[in-house]
Amino acid sequence: MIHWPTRMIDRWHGHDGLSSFSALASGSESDLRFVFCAAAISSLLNDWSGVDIDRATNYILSCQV
Amino acid sequence: MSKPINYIGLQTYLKHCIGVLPDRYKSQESNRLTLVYFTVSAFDLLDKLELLQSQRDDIIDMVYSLQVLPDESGSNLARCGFRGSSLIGNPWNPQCVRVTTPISISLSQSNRHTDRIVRYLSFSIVNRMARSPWIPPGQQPTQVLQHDYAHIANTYVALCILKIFGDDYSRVNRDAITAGLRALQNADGRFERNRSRYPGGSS
Repeated sequence: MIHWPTRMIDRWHGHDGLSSFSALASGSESDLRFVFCAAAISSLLNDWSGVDIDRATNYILSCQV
Repeated sequence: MSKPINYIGLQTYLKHCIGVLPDRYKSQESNRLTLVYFTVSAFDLLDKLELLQSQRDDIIDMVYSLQVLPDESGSNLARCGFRGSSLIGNPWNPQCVRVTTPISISLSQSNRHTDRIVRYLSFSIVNRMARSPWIPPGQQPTQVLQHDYAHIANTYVALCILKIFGDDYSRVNRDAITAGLRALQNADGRFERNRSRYPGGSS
C-alpha cells in the first residue's frame, strides 16, 4: 500500500496546498526549461501521466511575447 | 575561411572527459551526469559511439546508480527521478534494488566490515568517485537520505544517455519518475527543477 504524500494529492486535484508548496520552494526557479525536461522525460518513457498537459500547454502559450 | 573541425583532437578530448573531467569542471560535481550526457551525446553526434563500447556497461550502471528510488511507503515519491552525482553518499546500487533497510538496522546487525562501510558513507560527501560508496553483495541498500532528491534536468539526461546506448529502461522506475514529475508541476503549468527545501540558482 503506497501512502501518497498529501501535497502531491492536493496538486493532482488542484486543491489548495499550492500556496504552502510555493512557500516551501520559495526562490526555486520554475520555467520553460523544466517544462521541456518534463515533456522530454514523458516522451522518452512514453508515459504522460506525470504531466498535466493542459496546464503545461497554457503555460507555454502564456510565455509568448 | 573557417578552420576545419579537428575530429581526431575532439575525440581525444572527449575520451579524456569520459575518464577524468578537466579541473575547471569541478564546481559542477553535483551535475556530473549532465557532463556525462554532453560527452556521450558528442560521441553519438560524431557517430563514434563504438569508441565507448568498452565502457558502455559501466556508464549505464553509473547512470542507474544515480536513480532516486522510492522507499516502501512511498514517502519520498515526490523526490524520485535521477540525481546528478553520487556526492550525497548513497550506496552503489546499479541494480536499483528497492530501499528497505535503514542504516541503523544495518549497524546493529553489522560486522566490522559493515561498520567501516557505514562510517565511510557518512564522510562520503567529499567523495568524487562515481562508483563509491560501494555496498558489498548481500548487504541491503541504505535508508532514504534526508537531502536526497532528483533533479528534473538530470532525470532527462539520464534517460537520454540510456537511450543513446540502446538500454531497454528495464531498471527505470517509471511510476516513481512520473510521480516525481507530478510533484514538480505548479498550478500555472510550469515545472520546478527539484524538491529541495532550499532556494538557490539553477545549478
